Amino acid sequence: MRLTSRFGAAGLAIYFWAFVVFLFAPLAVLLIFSVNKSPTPTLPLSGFSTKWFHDAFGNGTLTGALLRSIEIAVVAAVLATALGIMASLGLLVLRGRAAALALTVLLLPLVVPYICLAVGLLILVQQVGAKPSLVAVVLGHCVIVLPFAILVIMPRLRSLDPAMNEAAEDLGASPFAALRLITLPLLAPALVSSGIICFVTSFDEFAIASFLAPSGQPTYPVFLYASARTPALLPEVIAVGALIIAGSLLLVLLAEGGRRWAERRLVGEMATASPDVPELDDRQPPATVAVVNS
Amino acid sequence: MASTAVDPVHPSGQGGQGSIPSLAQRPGTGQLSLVALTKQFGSVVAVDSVDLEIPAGGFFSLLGPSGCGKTTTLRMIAGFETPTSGRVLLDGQDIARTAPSKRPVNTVFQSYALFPHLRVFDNVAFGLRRAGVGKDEVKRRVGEALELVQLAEYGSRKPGQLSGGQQQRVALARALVLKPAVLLLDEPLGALDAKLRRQLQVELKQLQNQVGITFVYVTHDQEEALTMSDRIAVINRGRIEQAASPQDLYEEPANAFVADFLGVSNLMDATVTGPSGPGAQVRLSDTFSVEVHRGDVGFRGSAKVVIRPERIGVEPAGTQGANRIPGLLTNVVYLGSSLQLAIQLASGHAVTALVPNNDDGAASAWSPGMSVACHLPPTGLRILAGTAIAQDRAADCAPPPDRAPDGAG
Repeated sequence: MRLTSRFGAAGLAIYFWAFVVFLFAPLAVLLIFSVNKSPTPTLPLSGFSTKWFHDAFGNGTLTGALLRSIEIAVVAAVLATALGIMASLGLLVLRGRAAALALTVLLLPLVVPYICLAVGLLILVQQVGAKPSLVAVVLGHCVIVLPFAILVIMPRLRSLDPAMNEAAEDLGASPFAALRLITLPLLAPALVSSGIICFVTSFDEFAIASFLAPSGQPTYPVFLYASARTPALLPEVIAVGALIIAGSLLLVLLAEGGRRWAERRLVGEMATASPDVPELDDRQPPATVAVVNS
Repeated sequence: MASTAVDPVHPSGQGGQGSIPSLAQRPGTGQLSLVALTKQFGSVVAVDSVDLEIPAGGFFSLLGPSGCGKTTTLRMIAGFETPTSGRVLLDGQDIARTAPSKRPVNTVFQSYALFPHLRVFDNVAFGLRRAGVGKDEVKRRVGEALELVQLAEYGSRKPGQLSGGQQQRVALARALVLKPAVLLLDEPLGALDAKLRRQLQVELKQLQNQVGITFVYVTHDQEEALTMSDRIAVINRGRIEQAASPQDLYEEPANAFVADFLGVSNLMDATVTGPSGPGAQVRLSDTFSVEVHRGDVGFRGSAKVVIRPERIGVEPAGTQGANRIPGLLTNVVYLGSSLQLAIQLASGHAVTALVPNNDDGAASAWSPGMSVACHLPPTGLRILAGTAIAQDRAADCAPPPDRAPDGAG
């Protein structure tokens, strides 16, 4: 039976649109109510207003939490990506069981519930005599986003020809210069992806931040969770949510554009030979050569 | 020197330079000696106590089947592998434990290993900039190098925009621009089609004559090695079987492996008897004996006799004379310029003969089932003493022959 029979095609179309609605309805609701005049997010809509955006940015606690989250996410993303590069380089050299074991350990935070990690981290922080702090949040986030960084960077690194590094050293570059001039530029697309994934994951994270952030300095998700109990704040939270959606969309578009630009720069556009450049014989199809035993 | 200006982009201080010779002076002449060079990977001996003299300024090939240790040998000369034991002497100085970046040796990789994010110009300029060469001189020397490989107008392209043959030339220019004492080439033509390969073989040999740098060329292609080399070392299972000029290797193979690896050979079990005049009398079977003038003619006993297919004269059945054995034509393969005949000799040996496709040897003149007489001229036959070498031919993984490696040949 062909999938594209008349009923099949109609069914697929219905399924597709149902899926789109399911995915994006929550986002649409957020966007719609962010400009709704009424302080309670209920239908019917009561008219257009940008009041909640003004209120949100007038609320120092809210903007403070937002900026705090962005700072933490940027630091965690940069740190985890740097660690991810090092871990991937190390994993490339390891062989056999050692490599499998190291990778398992590095990826473990993926399968450990964040809440368990959070409790563990809190105990650890207190045992070493420190207090909950934003630095602790950053370190905690590094632990959970490092697996993402490795999963993005390692395949790219594996795809590079190991002879390129040897070539760089053969031509007089120190191992560090080879890393800086050859490996890192070629990893650039993966580093951009890693940075974005780590940023978003850290920005979004609640459990670790709620345990490790000092009181009075909540991250945005922690602030949000607390303010859900304060109905008066809800419209402002919705407004910021709408802004974050718009920001995320922009980020994704920028990242994709940046990735394409980087890829193009890396390999050069596959141009056909320009007419002013004489083409060598190289591209002629190979002539059929009878096998002659010399 | 065109300029003494300091390169603003790459000031000195980047590790690794200092040893790279300038255009004007090259250290030494590029004479390499490998002394008892050995490399083990775990329990596997990839290179087994190799002694080899590579003369300065020549085109030297390391020839052997895949996995024979030729690439490992090359990588030890380049510095990518540290020898388990032994020495790599470059103009008398041991460089076996010197970092690759500090050796006046450059490599053309099998995969070319061009830097895909850099333009052709920057690829070629990479080594010069690492060495802290001034900007103007970088420009001049890169221009010269690209000129040398006929890619002068391709400097602003990315490697991905070039054909395979062009990429190969960029790799060559990138290594040659540093004027190394020795240039190492690891099967650089392996990825190219047959026609382009032959063209580049000639170009590469011309280029080597032009620049006068010692080339060490790794290949598994015997035809390629014969075409280009001044001298060839045949390697098998980590040992040198024979090192000699192409002509000597082909005409005077030291053993059955060399005889068989360089072109097709007919190897026959025989017994050498004596005494005889200029050569030896060799019994191929109870009824057939031939006179042999070459090889280990002083040897007596059980040995191998080898003859190249093109040296066998195929004559009409019943032709009389010395060194002639009747045979039955079992198969004819048309090769264009020649015909390959499979013949079962009355002595019990199966041989392959190559006859020119000319008027008196036309394709139609031969058909399977014909009776013929094979003339095995005394000067075409060689005696190879030693019996263990029979295994060489059967499989590469057979135990090593009980025989010391032939050093400089």
